[in-house]
Amino acid sequence: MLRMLRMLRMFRLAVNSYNSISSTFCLALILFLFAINVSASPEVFSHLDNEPIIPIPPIPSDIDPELVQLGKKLFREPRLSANNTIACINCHVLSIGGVDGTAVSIGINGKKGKRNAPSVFNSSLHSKWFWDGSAKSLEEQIGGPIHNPVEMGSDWPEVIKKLSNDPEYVKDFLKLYDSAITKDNITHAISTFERTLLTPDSPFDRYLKGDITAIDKDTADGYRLFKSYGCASCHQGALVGGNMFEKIGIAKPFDWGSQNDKNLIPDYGRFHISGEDEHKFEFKVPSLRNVELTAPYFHNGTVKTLEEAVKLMGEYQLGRHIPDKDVVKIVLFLRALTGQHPELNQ
Amino acid sequence: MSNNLKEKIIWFFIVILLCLLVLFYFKSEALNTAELKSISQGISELKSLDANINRQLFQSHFGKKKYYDDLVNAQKDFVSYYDNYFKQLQKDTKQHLDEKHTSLVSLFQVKEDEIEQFKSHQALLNNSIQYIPHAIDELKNLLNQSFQNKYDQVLANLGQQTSRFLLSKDPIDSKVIEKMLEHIKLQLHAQSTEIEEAITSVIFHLGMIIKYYTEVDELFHKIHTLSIQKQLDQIREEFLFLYEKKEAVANRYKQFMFVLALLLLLIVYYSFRRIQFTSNKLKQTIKDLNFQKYALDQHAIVSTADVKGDITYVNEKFCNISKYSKEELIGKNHNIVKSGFHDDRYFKSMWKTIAKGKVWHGEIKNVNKNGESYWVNSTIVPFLNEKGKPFQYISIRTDISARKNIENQLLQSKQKAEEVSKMKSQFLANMSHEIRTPMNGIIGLTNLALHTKLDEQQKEMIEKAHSSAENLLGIINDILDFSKIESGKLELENISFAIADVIDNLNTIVTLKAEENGILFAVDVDKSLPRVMQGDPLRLGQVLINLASNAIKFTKPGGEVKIAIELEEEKEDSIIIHASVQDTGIGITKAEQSKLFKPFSQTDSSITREFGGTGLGLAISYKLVDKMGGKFWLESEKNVGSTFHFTVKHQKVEDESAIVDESILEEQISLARESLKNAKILLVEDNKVNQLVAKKLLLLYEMNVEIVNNGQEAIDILDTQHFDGVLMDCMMPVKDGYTATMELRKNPRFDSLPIIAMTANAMKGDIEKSIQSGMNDHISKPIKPEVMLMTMAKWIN
Repeated sequence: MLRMLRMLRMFRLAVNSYNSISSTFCLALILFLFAINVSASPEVFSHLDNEPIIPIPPIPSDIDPELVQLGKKLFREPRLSANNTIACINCHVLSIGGVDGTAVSIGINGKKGKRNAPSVFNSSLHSKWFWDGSAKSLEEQIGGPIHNPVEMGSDWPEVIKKLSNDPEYVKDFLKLYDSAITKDNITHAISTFERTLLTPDSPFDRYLKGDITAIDKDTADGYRLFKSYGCASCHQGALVGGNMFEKIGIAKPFDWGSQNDKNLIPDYGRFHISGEDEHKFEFKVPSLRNVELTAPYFHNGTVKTLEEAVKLMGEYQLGRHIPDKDVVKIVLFLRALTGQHPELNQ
Repeated sequence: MSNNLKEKIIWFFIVILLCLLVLFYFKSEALNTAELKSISQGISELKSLDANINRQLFQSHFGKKKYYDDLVNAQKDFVSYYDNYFKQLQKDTKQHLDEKHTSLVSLFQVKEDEIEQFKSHQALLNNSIQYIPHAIDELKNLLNQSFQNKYDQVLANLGQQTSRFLLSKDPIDSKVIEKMLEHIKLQLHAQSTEIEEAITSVIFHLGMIIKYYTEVDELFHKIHTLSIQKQLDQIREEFLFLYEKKEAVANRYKQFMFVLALLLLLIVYYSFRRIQFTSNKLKQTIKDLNFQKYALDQHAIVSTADVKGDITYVNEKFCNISKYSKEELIGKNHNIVKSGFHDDRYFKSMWKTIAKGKVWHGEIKNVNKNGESYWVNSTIVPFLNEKGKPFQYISIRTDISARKNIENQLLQSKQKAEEVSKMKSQFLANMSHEIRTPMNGIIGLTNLALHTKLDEQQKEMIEKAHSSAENLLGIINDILDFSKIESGKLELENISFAIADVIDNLNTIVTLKAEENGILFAVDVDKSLPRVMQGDPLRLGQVLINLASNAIKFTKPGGEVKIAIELEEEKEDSIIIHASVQDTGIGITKAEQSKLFKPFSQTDSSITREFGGTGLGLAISYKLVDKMGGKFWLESEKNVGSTFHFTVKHQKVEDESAIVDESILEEQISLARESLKNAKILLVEDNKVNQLVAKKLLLLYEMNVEIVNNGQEAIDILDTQHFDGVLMDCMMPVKDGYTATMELRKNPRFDSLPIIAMTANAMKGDIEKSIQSGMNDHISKPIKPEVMLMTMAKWIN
């Protein structure tokens, strides 16, 4: 199946370069791959059926690299903030997992936010964005931090003005877009870059794809426990979460005052957006991809370790006390969700 | 209506029709079949995408899929497809279907919200359903440790009841569960905390199941029953309804278009017919023109030239006459045939005329290739462009060389004849001068002699001599008059005069002769004739005297001559007088009448011998009448008599007092005599007799006279002496009067010196010549004493 995908990609490449001299070469290559495919033994996919978790798709290869480069440049651009100090990358440090390792990030002029910054890796696969799901598209999400007064505290006209004063940006945009610098162009460039920030090939994904040696027995046990405790009811899909909302504190009310921190007033989550009572305390179920890199945990970053997070989740959400031996195994499974990306661990 | 305007109107119509056609085309094309197709496709696709959401939901609900990615993607697919679908709708479609689309969007929003709720709740429900057997087992194990198998049955019943509820979804079953739980809780109150916790867990999870099991089911059904498909169908129907309405309108425009196209076709057909008609007419015209050109080429020398005069076309005739070939001529300037005969001004005026767009006619002498000249009568017609400026000239010429040759010959002979005639006139003038000079002497001296003491015999002789001289002068005057008339030098006066004076003069002269011949003479003047009129009285009298004298001459004694003058016609400012002279003379035959008015002719040469006369009288009279704007005719019968008729035209005079009275003239003469008394006069005259006559006359009027013989002597004496005036003869030896006067006038000293010409050259030209040379006035010889006095008094004082 993977080979088929690769072949498809090759075919697309061939179509793209149809007019070039290499097209004949590509066609020959495809025929060659076909021959290999036919002769290769079929792989076993049967155990993948009806699993709650599916692998992260590979990084799309048909994206214009120049566009990605521009998006990357904008991602690192502090002029997107009011005082030219905060870029996207300040809180979404790619090398350490697309997060900044703090409970709440620090915006312009040292201002602190209220919610934990989620990882930018795999962000394009979410169904909705932000903890409360208030952004319905990746592009829409980009405007959020730029306008948030405790994050970048700027606005589009200002950003466009600043970037338009930079001839290099003007040149880049004019090269790639019909118009010069606009809000749509900027968000398009950044989101395009973000779509490349996928972390496929985690050990667990390899396991899902049939490589039973990719994880050890305890980790596999951890996965079984993850399912049987009911974690996988919410943490499912490619992102192991990220595609639904759930109330925090189902079996046991969430402890808003457990830490003696003035900032930790109760956060009503989706209720702030919809105003409906049944949305009170509802948050997006976070993705557990690369979760070992994205501590601290929970929407307010109050939980420092994975073990603690797993335990607390069992109490709050499942009404279950998860024994330590199971926690260890579940954490082993969670660590196997860490995938690969060139920007990661650099 | 001009053709141009008609054409413009047709074009205008065509443009309007085309515009309407385009407009109607777009109106009819407003019907967007592509949109219909894309909406139909879009609605179908949206329906299938919605069905896909439901399918994914179904799979999640019944555990066929344990993750929501596909559901979420199905939702995303629907949203993004809808966005694209909506984007490509036309503006008016959007407007018309706005309500439907809005409710679709909100309906879908409800669906999404409910799906979110469904996912949250189902997760909790699934966990509790999955866990409840374990929870019950755990509780059972705990209870077994303390109570052996006492609660086995109870817990088994609870499990059974739970399964039953999950199957029936009956609220009564859930109530039973709740009751059972309450019972267990009561029985096991205040046991170990472990048992407490296990019971709480069972209660919590069963609570979750009861709470969410029906709710999730309801949500699932609610989501399925959401009328999104229906709403999509409604959008399609509404659009189809709209589309049909538009289609009806578009069809109407198509009909209009058809009608317009027909109209356009008609116009095109009409225009085509018109063009055909015009082209036929044009062909005919061209044929006619070619024929005309052929005809023209046969007759005329034709060429065309551009505005610079460079030849663009020549015909055969042109080549023939110019001896050049066509190739040699075309492109060359027209002055290739220029002869140089005409001066530049001639061609300049020609260019001026044709450049203005006017047609030029003229005769041109050209020269051919061999250097031989030829004459052409040329007409140059400029061809004008729309701005009225010429862009081409066509020249049409005829060869008139032969005529020119004859004309030249004629001109030469005419010049010769004129020269002869001039010589004749000159001769006559000279002759009259030569004769007048001695006549002056004779008449003057006999006149003076009559003032001296003479005996009867002497007096009679001198009187006879005097009258003979007067007669001779008359004859000479006749000859002179005739020669003047012949040479066209006779000029008529135009003064006011009394007709009575003319008649008196006629009576004075003719009555005596009539009495001498024993002929009865009578003049009858019409009473209605105006007393005074304007014209030449002298010449009128002359004609009357001539005719009367002739009548008397040819009438035998006892006959009669009657003159009748009457008013023939009166116009606003002129009158025509009819005069008739009737005699009872010898009469004239018709044959003789034709010769009658020729000079020097009398009806019979024998007549000359019998009656004498120069034969000039009638000829002069005839010419004078002609000159006075009248007719001359005669009625005659041989041996019965003749009546000569003539008419003359005279102008009317309003102021009759303008006529000079005789008595006033007398008074003026004595006044003149008085003013000239003792004046010192220089007489310049070469002829001794004339010197004597003039001297005596001047002395008679008590003036002082000094005499010199020619112009030079006059200049010499005037240099040293003062004179009040000079009488200057014109024809003199050494220096004539004209030259002398011109020399004198050059000296400012003599600016105011009166110089009066005395000449026998009594022709008008001579008078003018004397005035031109600087003389003040003119006295004609033989000198009339009164005229001399009046003329001198006018200048000398």
